[in-house]
Amino acid sequence: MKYDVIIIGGGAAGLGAALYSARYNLKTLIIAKEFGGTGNIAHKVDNWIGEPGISGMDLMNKFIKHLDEYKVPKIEEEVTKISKMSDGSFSVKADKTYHGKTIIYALGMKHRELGIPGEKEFAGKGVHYCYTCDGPIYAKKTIAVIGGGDAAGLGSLFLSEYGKQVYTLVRKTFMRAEPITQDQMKANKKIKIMFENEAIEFYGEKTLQGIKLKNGRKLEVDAAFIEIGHIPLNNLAKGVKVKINSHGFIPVDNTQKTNIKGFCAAGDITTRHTLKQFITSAAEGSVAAETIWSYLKNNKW
Amino acid sequence: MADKKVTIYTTNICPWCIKAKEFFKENKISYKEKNVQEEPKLANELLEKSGQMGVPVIVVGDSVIIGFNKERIKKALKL
Repeated sequence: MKYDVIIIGGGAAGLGAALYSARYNLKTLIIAKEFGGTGNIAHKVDNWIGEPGISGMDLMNKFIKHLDEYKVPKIEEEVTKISKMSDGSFSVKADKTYHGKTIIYALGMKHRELGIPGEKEFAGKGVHYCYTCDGPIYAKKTIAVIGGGDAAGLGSLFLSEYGKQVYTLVRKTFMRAEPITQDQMKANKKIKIMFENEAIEFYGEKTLQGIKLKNGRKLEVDAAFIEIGHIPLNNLAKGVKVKINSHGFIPVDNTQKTNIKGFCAAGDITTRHTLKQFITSAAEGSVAAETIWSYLKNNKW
Repeated sequence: MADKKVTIYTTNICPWCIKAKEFFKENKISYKEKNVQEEPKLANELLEKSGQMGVPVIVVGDSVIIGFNKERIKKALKL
């Protein structure tokens, strides 16, 4: 069986694409290792219009439930290879192999690591990457958050509900987090934002005891949550010669087309929006679906 | 189907803990939940058992699985 479109990735972009593909009557398959993707981790999403304060997991479950009304097959497998066939279609290898006339690539990003000494040694022993998971374990403890973006800001606010003190270590002289988040941080007595502070090493014994900073100081903490952004998951796209920019993102035009015929990309993985959010990802997914529909109808890329 | 004893170390809203519990429920496998957030003294037990201060940690028989690693869980359960 050959699908009109195979959507790879089960986050906001992939699910958004699948909904629109189904509504355009395209024979659609969506494959993801984990439906909901990184969206599942957000403890609170206050910028998806119409759902104030919803958790990332609840929002993703709503997406999935909505999609299920259209009976689009959802395959929970990890894609290991995409190949272009001689007729221009694609084969997608996961546990089984699937065939599609076109692809919407919506794999998003994975958590970026700091890459400093002690990070691996203390991973899960004080150094953490999921504050909604592991934050509550550090009740009444001293916690650091490393990063200056939205996730670092929201993470600091979340962790201040549990820890006795939260230090937000920001490498630059400013934060990139939404201004409303920064205002909430400044008003929070438990949070101290430390600008121009760069972590260079984690130290401890059995568990983390502190962070060495570039300015020579040491910061004693029980836990450090790393929120320094994400790395685009572009490997599978490289396999079919999709152009990737120097930062690892996939350049697309304003219809989500890549340089490869029949291959759209959507969501955090693309260059289209610097604002990486549920709403921009879902929007890109829907645009990609319309592009694929139009391409299959007119055979014009 | 396995009859191995399953314990899941969790915190209240940890997304992967919720996913892990859903997985066991879907497969009709009973488990004991140990919530480290509600009972902070469990943190030491968690650290001793897994070397971890993170959740979820899933113990299936003698296997200690860090994170919601579905493949390892299935293997441990022989599903």
